[in-house]
Amino acid sequence: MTVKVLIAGNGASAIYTAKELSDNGIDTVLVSGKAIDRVNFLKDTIQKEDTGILIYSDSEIISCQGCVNDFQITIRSNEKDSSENISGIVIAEEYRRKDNFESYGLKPSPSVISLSEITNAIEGRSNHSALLKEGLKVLFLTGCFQESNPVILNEVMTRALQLQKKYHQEVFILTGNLKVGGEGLEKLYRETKEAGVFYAKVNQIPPVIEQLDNGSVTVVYQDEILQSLAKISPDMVVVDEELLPSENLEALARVFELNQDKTGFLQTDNVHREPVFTNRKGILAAGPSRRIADHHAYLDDAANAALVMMNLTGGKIDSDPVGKARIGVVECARCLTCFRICPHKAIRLEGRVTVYADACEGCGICIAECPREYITWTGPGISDDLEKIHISGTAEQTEDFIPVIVAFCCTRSAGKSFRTAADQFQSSLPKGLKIVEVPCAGGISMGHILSTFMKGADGVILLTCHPGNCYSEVGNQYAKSRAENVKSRLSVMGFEKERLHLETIAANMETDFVRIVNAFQKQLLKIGPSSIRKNLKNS
Amino acid sequence: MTETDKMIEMNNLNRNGLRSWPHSQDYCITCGACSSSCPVSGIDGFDPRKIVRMVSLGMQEEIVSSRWPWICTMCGKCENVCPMEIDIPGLIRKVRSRRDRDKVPGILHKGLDTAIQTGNNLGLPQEDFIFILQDVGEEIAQEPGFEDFTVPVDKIGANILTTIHNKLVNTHTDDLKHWWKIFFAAKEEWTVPSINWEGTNWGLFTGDDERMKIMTGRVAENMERLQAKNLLWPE
Amino acid sequence: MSDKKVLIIGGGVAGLSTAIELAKHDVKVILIEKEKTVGGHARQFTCKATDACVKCGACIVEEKIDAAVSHPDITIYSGARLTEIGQQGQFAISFINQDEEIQQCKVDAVVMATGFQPFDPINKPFGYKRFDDVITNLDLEKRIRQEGVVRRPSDGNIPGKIAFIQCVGSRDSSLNHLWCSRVCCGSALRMANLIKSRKKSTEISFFYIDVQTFGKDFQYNYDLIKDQVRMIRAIPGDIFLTADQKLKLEYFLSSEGKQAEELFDLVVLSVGITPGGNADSIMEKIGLKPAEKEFLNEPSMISVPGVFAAGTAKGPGSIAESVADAGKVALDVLNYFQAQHN
Repeated sequence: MTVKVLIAGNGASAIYTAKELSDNGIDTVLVSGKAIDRVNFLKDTIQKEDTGILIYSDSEIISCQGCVNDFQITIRSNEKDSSENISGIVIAEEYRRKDNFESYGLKPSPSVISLSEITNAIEGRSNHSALLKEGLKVLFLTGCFQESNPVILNEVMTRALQLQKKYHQEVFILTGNLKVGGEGLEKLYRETKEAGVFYAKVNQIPPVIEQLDNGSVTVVYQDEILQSLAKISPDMVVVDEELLPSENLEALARVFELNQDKTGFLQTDNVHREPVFTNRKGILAAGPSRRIADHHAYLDDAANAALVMMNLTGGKIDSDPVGKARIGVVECARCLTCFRICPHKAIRLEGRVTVYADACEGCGICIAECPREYITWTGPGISDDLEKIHISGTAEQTEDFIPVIVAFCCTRSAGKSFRTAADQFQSSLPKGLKIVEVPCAGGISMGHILSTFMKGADGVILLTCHPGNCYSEVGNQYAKSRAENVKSRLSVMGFEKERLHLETIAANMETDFVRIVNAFQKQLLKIGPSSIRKNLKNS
Repeated sequence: MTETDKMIEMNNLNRNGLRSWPHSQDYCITCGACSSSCPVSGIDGFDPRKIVRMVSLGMQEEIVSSRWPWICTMCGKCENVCPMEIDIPGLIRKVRSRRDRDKVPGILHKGLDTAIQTGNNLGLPQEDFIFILQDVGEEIAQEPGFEDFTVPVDKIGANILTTIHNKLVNTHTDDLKHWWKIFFAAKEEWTVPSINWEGTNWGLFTGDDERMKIMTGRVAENMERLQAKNLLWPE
Repeated sequence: MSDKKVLIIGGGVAGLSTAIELAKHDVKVILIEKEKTVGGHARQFTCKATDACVKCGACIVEEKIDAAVSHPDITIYSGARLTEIGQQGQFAISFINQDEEIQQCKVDAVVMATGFQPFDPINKPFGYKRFDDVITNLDLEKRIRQEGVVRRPSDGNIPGKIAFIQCVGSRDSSLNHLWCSRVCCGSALRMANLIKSRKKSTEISFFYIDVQTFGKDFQYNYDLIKDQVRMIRAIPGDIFLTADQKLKLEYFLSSEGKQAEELFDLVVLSVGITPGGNADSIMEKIGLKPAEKEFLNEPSMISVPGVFAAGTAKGPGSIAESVADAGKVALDVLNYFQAQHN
């Protein structure tokens, strides 16, 4: 099966992505929520005659089954449903622009307009010549009450420069923090000032904005430079806009089972998702679908999306996967726990409950959560690694007591820090430290912890990724709640709960790794060998 | 003078008024480094950033009539730290030049008039000047090690010709001694001109280019007349 | 593309990421790094998480290092110096490896991932290298990474009052640095947050011009940090060392219309990202006009076909942005090979 990629979107981001894909010989299906002109769109994207790009205009994605390399997508156009077999998906929707009149206490009027409106007027897309009249005093309001961003400031300064220079208007810009942290913006800022644009910044004291019945506006603000109140009564006010996720993203998140960040973009604020990844393999978020960024970033994202798609195989492979979850066919009771909790949505219902190896990220959460323990690892798993640990018994609390510490280390964070620490600070690590590296802390079950104590470990420490830094988003949370669960049970059992510890760590914290395990050792030295260890028979 | 309780009407400002001034004032990014480094920031509400802003806004009347530009000492620290290379001292000087001469703060203007007429800000006659110098010179000669000290006035072909700040022959004559003794110890060939010796150029200070040039020209004339090699102009 | 070989100059985030992306598409990669270890500047950054990750991206460097080092198609030469690159087409490169042996090979494309140079604030009036307890943000990263806490260089004590001075060497036309370095506001604020979380009593002042946006959910994260830190919208003008080894900063307080002076135990200068010092000699070797203290951000600067630039060699950017850029450059290289093929 050849690779076929679906792009959701219709703006610049979708165009760039479609172009990169078609340039690399990948068949593309584009689903646009609004009606688009096929000819114009193709003109912007197709370089090669023979590359297919199928466009669903004015359409909606209704459902998505399957996983990477084998998605079955249903698309509805005009009440008619079509099916597509897709290898990978790129969500490349544009921003939803929300005007900010309300946040400034203003109502739109012929003289109080949005950033988009002045842009349209200048670019000749609308018939508002009154807005471009010479000699007008124009006030731009941007980022006064809420932080803005470089994308918006770029637009504000570009338009301000045009109004000042080309249309000979007098421009004032009232802002909070000037977001010049974007390419070329400091230079543009200087250019606008050279042309005569005036900037004032509001600080602690909010400006007072009044709009009269006839729609005209007066702004009184505290000029912190002149240390005086200043009043502007502009002929025209241009209010900035907020860049928000497209209104389509909510539905797409639902259909594709994607995590969203606090604002609604289809990529959580997790560094592991950089650049264009989501929680699901084979589904990417590009450009304005993942965060606010400038045009340059659209190109980067389109390229990164293409790179990923170029490496798809176009069909389920991995006939002999290692490090993935496998559901026991006979035993599975179809409780659907694994299906519900898989953070990567790699478990599907197709007659049987099946793990799609291609989409499985090997976090082990389902393996640890399955109430019947019927899910296993393909290849060696955590239990196999635990098997390898041998702890000699009968230790007494003497001066020679070396606590055996078994550290479950998430390979992405603690594992890396451990290896750096072992390299740099070998002598500083506790002598009794034994490492069990796991692909994700979410795979550490309560059973693992208890059986480690049963083997005679004096202390067990779970070192997981920080909240917000887990590759599987929630693996560290599972580890934390399981550890707390075990801790409370240990107390009931009369076993010191201090013997179980959990800390979060990152891949570049080798110093902290040393500190944490040594602090743990110190604590274990105080409470002595575990009662289980004391009673172990020598093997 | 803009008082803090008077509101600035932005609409009434003619921003183009002072646009042509070549001091880059429009490039200000309001970083505040100038105000932070200015030794007189905060005095009577003055700070250099304010001046830059007022010029940029074309607030001609306010700034020319304001006391603020006259508080500046012209030390140049602001210019040194400004990331946008705004010539703030130049700007302030320009503002000063816009004042009617008879409204220039008293002592500066009268002093300048005197200097143009007599060659020094005090109107000190030549004989009195030389007398004071020699008097100080004799005091130095009484100190051990400086027995041979004399003040070389109008010496031809010296290595260093030095101007004199008027206060040094008025209220602070003792301060002449420090560097004169250094010259002596270093066996330096130096001289003081007997006329047009004034080092404090209030033409420079009050933004009066024409009279600044006259004063400066006189120093240059001294250099030529006395064929000195180097000019020392402590100010 | 398994018959293609690419030389990547520079083993920082961008260089490593470009190497990994190319290797994923069967291209053989030779990566040359002048320092003894790869990872670039970001390798010395500390994790700034408090009770949660703050998405600075520093940990990603470790991931990239691991992936690049372990990939069979990527060969890394650290502690190496390039002596020749050749010009256009098949580049005949020559370099001296860490054992001082000369090695040679031919490559089909060259990627300059030579990174940035942190601004040296020695000529700024903040006392860098004059007073021990004035350090840069990069010094601070290194110290916290290595020791877990920041101590005053002069006496090893933990500072009770810290000042961050932003925009040092950025937004400065007198230096010809007419850009904002983008990442320093976020870096400093996250650092302040970390220091406060480890020692609540620490007082931190943040001297800035404009706070730049960083990461996602900026407003939310900024609001949290803003409450912990004293935000002062002015750049200090002078610094003095007091008799008891404290640093006195003079700055203008606009809210009161006067100058203030305050004593700090430690002053951190957020130095800007400036064009890398290594690019020029490399460009000469390729036959390109040296950039001479400019970022490689104009395509005309890299006009030799088969030569590309990645990462902060082209301008300021965060770790995440360098990774994204590396992907773009990798695809550009692949497209270049494809075009040659056709």
